[in-house]
Amino acid sequence: MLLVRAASLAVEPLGESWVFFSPLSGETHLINDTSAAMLECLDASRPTAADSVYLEIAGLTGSTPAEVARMCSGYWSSLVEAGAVRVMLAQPPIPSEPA
Amino acid sequence: MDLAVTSVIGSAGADRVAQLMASGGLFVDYGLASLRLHARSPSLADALHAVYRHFPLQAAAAGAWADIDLSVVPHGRRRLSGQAPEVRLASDGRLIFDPFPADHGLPLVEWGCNWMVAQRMNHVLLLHAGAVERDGTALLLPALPGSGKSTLTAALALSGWRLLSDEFGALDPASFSLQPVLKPVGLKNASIDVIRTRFAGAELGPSFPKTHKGTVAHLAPPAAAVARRHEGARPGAIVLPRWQAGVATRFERLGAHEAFSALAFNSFNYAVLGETGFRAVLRVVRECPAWRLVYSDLDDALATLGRLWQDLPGMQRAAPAQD
Repeated sequence: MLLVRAASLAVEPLGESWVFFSPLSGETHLINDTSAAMLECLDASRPTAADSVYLEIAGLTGSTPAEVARMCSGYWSSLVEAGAVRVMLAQPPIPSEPA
Repeated sequence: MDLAVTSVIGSAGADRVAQLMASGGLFVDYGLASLRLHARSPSLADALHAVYRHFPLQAAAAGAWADIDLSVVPHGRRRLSGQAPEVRLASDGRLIFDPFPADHGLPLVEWGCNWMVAQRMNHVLLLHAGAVERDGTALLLPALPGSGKSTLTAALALSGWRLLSDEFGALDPASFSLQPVLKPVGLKNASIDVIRTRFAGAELGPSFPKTHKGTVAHLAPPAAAVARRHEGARPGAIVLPRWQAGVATRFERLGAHEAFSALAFNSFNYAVLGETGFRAVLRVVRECPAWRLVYSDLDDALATLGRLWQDLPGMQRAAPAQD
């Protein structure tokens, strides 16, 4: 799975939580440390593989990538729905030839 | 602005208020916003005379700008059917709000004016919060309707705090200052007698029974607050009040994320302001500690907030104000 972070996303620490504002959607969301770390590992200018995100967080936390993947799995859909992350296709579709 | 200021409304008399409303319009300066009001209603003039008693009596000159232009107009069809007379509210020539009984003009004007402020004043962040100031620093009281926000705001305004608003925490993001939206404080049902009993000097207007919020009455903003209605105050603390029958006072520290939610997601125009609103709320919750105040005893709540103000870091030390 390849992921891109939304451009101009403002992610800010807020006490024990985090908050982000998306100028594109106009939405504000409170998020936890895990979601904030996931967003930090993504880039707005190029796709990043989810496995790379898990590896980076695992390196920071001392967990295994598999454990991080399980920890993150529930948050991707929320971040996508909130407009903070977009899932990219691994390969662009190849148009079929006209009949 | 071409305005004729002759005296304060309270000393001018209700007849003069009625006369102005029926001619070029009564002009009211709330601080953040201004109102021009047209009406032909002696009962409305009486009520305005009571709750705007400390405001300057101002006649709007023809063509002078007012941020909000309201007209109370008769609801004509009722007359034909022989039913009790009603009035409607028009702004800039368009009818807004459902009809009200003709003798309920003040609640109609007050709610209509609040609605127009929330629609129009998008140069500031309009938090749904009471706001009072003491020792140069403002206390924000964000809360949902029914939480006792207005009652506590009224009580504070009668206990040495300067009233900024019971409805709008109007934050100017550029100056980081809360601007007064100084209107009469709307009290409902049991709160009316709570304030009347606790504060003998409270200047309350007439009661209006059977509104969609029950009985309402309005507290006139104190004269000192009216005189300083163009003077903002930097926010210093956030307290989320909730009145609950029979409970002992609880005063609990809140996390920044809880304060953020209470302010941003309970604002009139947070979404309209986009990232400016986001940054403004973020700054408020980072610079202002927040608490939740659950109370049933108004005096205990007032004492709790008085102690908070004495202990708040960075607060100018001043002698506590007396009732």
